[in-house]
Amino acid sequence: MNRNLKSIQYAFIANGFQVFNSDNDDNCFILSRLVCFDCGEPWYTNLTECFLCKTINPYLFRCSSCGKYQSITKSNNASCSCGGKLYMMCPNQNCISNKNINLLNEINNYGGVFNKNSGMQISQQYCYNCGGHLHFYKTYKLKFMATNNPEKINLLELSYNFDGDYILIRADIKSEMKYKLLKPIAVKSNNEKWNTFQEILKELS
Amino acid sequence: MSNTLYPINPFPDISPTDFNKLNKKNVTEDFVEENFKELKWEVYKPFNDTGIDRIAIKFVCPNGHTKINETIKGNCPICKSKPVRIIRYIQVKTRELKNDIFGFTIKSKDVRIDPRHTFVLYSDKTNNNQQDFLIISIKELLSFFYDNCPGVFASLSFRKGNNKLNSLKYKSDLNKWFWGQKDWEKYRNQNGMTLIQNSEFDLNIDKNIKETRELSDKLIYKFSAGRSYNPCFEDIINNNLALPKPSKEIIYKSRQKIKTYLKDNCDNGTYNSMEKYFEYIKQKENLGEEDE
Repeated sequence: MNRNLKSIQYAFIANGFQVFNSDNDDNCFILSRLVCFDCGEPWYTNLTECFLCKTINPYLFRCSSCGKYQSITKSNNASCSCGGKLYMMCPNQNCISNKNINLLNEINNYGGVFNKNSGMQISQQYCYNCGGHLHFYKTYKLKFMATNNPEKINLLELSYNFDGDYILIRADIKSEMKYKLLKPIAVKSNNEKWNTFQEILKELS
Repeated sequence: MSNTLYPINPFPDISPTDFNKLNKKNVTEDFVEENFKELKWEVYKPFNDTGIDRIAIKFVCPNGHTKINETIKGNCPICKSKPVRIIRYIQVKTRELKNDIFGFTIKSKDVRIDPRHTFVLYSDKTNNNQQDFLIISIKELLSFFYDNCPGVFASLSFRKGNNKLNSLKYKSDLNKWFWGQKDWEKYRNQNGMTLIQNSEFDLNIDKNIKETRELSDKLIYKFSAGRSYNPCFEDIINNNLALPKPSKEIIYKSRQKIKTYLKDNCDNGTYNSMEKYFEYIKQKENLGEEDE
């Protein structure tokens, strides 16, 4: 894979996209990410939520004695400075895991709702951003071209036989990287304006 | 094309059975990739190792006129319909049979509700010279579970990530695959490839996402106490899970309220560390991670 292609792909990865490459065509690649059906924000399958009340995992310990919250990265996982035991409890006071004392004690035997041994946390089911319950893969097939001579680009030639979603052109214009994102069917001339990478990301979001 | 001719071994210098558990990860995914290409799919592999092992694309007639080993460039030569681009998000699980059982795990993060998410269960040693694919979309799999084993995700192990499923079995005397007593031949090799080539998911994606969510909810919001919890909690939890599904507005408000509560009840350092941890978890999504 050439360096320009790697560079643009790393730029997308740093901005939350997953990149997929083909063995057959060095200039084409796929951008994809799992997003919320309602708001389009990314869906995080590594994020967990309470199985019982859908509250997001706060990644915090709570002391069973003084009730203080502590970071899971700083705590020693065993006890609070007050001597109380630490549990990864659900922070929602209305959650059945807090309201039912017997259940609370039972779950705390496994370290609390958000301890991986409790079986009471589940991969994200509701959008982190809007609370939506549906997600889907948003995917684009791109053809990429990097050039230092943008005036010489033949867009018709580039779009010929391309069955993907966008042609992405990157040009070094006066030592500044500029981009064009073109739909192949709409390619008529080379007069479209140049954009920043952030503008390209916005278009693909 | 008969089932005995597919999958092919795309790598004639070596047999798929020559690899062991430790060194076969890349070759098995490549094996699947080459077999998709054999049937004219365009296949893309992840830059980073994320939950999706391959993305496969092809163009088909919406009326089912495209053969399994074809992709069409222009309109369908039979009915003249415009071709549909179909995309499948492939998750490969490769196992060697043990006592004729194909054992594999499904975690809660594997249950995506985009119906185009497709499992390829690759038996790399059905016998000494035979490999098999069982190819099934997430929607079809959830539907199968709902009809035949509705408690499959009720156990703690599903949410803990070590939910080993041991019901998929190859009966060598019949040369057939079964899930429990149910015939799974329709998902095997070309049969499975034919099913996932149907463009229904791509043409009616919104409807199919919603239906997959319904199936998923029915299966995942169930609790079985197993041997870990006191059985008396089973009804309490299941009654709680059976309450009407909250709207997204309710979820959003409740989460905002908890965020405010945590802000009020944590010192700055603790709250900031929580926010940093969220960022770390979000990054994990596309920077790649070890999958089984």
